[in-house]
Amino acid sequence: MNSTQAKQILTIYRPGVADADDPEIAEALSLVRSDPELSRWFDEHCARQNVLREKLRQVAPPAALREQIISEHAARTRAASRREKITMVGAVAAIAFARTARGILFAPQSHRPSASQYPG
Amino acid sequence: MARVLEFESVVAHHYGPLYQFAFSLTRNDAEACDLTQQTFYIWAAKGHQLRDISKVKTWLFTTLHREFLGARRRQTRFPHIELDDATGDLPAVPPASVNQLDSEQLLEALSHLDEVYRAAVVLFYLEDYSYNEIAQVLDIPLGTVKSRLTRGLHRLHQLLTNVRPKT
Repeated sequence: MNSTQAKQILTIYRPGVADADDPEIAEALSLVRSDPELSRWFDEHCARQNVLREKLRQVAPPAALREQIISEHAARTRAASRREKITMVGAVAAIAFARTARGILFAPQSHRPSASQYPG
Repeated sequence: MARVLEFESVVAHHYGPLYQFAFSLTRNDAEACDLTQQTFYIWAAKGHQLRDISKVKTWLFTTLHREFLGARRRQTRFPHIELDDATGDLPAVPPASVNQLDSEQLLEALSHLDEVYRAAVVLFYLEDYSYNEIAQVLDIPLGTVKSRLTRGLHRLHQLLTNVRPKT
């Protein structure tokens, strides 16, 4: 590996992250220690990476976003729970209605005496 | 009640970085908010399927990225253009001049990167994700992550050399 190849590989190196665990990067890093020009480049590269990382993390989410997510979730949960209750009540009512209807329609005929059985 | 608290805790921990990721991808506040909300909506519906609780963050980032790609596909207004191969040295942007840029200018430069590279580069800087984790979030092989990062960073640094710090 020469200095140019090492720079190419170290393009994706970030200080403070476990990037050196990657064997290719570890090899390139070992070259940094023995090459003063590469070492200077590497120091600048690390400083640049740190600055870019910091800049990108400065983007702040809107203040209300968190509350909005939580309140919408709560509203959805309440609506789902209401739907569940309505479905449950509907199901219970349907079962009760079916039982009542069955009772009326299929109940055994009673053996009440007819009027003709009581002469006079 | 416990589930509500759990949901709120997941939101509290991750909504900031997720919004930053979404905003870096879309460069639009409303779209970024929508994507973040949609991600938590999916989490509320399907999060219980996740067995390993330590993977929540990766799960959320993967979901947000999928939603972003899905929305882009529906819009079909971002044709994929391959960058030229990144060859040669990384363009030398002095750290001091990078320091003078503000986040807005960095995001502007990022927005000129092809989407394919942008997501990898943002995860690389924003979350200190390892190459393997970036591969998981983007659902691509490790080698592809490295090549996308190399090309994306090369292009980003090219773009940054042309940006003049605000006075």
